[in-house]
Amino acid sequence: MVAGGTPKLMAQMRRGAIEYCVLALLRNDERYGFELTRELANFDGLVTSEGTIYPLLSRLRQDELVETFWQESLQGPPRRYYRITEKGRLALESFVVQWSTFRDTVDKLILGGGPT
Amino acid sequence: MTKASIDGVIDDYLRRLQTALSRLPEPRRSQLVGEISEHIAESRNDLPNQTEQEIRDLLDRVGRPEDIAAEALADELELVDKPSHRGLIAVLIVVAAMIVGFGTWAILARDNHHVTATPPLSKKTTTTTVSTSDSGPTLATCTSAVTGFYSPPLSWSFGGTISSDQGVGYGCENQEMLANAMMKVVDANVTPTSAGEASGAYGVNSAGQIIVPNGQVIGLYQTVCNVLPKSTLCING
Repeated sequence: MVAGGTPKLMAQMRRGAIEYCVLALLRNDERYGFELTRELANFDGLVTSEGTIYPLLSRLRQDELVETFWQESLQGPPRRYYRITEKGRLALESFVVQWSTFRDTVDKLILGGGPT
Repeated sequence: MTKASIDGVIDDYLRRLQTALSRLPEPRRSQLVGEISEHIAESRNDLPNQTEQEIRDLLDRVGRPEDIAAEALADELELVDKPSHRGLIAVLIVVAAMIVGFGTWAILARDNHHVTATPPLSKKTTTTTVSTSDSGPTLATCTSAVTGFYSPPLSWSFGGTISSDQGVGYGCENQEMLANAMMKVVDANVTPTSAGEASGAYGVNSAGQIIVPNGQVIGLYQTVCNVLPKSTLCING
């Protein structure tokens, strides 16, 4: 691995994990797009630009992992809200288990431990 | 800057976005433009003065239309993948490549392509060689691993639980394969008697460890019997 590969590696890792980060943010609350991007921006390294979240949301909706609905706003036009679906919850639960195992395995290897 | 000219800056941005997304099929393209337009309107409401600079900063945060389009088009190309696993697969591919690269480097550096396993309890040294380039865990590689403990720093023990990820690369894929491999070793150490019965040449010590005649511990009795309760070891043991 060369040092120059790091930004590309980060982009690929981010791309793999971010849809589940979005599903996790929607696990307990319905949110509108602007709100979601602001939440994600609070986590370092997750989002490169606010606009790139929308293709992701579109994909999640296409895959039926989230659904949208409109809700009146006190501060302007109605907002498009995102809500996690049952399929989305199952996908998130599955990812949480796989991610945890995978992370532990990689940690073990890169921190110098052997299999136990 | 007037409101009309600020609107013009935003309209220009949305036009660039439309153009960048021209290869994206409808209705996805219109949905995306609509959502980003809503996002810009929301963000704009938060600006205290709505100066040109504030608007340009806002559009910078939203991102270059070309980058958003690239993200959307990449998604289109991925539609053939299984949706719920696509993300994890991307991460797995990247990090698996890192693990293979690092693991291969470490082993090459340490042991010239092979890991040599030496039973610690035997005075007579037998050597088990496990190829690092095998195509995946099989009962054969798992059995090879069971019959030898690896020397440090790859020291490990089969006592307790082995998870599927730990087995990969070390001969065994999962607990079931491990138990079957241990039974294979036990069976190989069963001596037929003249009466046609079998007598065990293996033993289980007070710590619940299975020991074969050369003194080598091949693992825990309980590990086998959790998976294979009807095996000869567990019935006779």
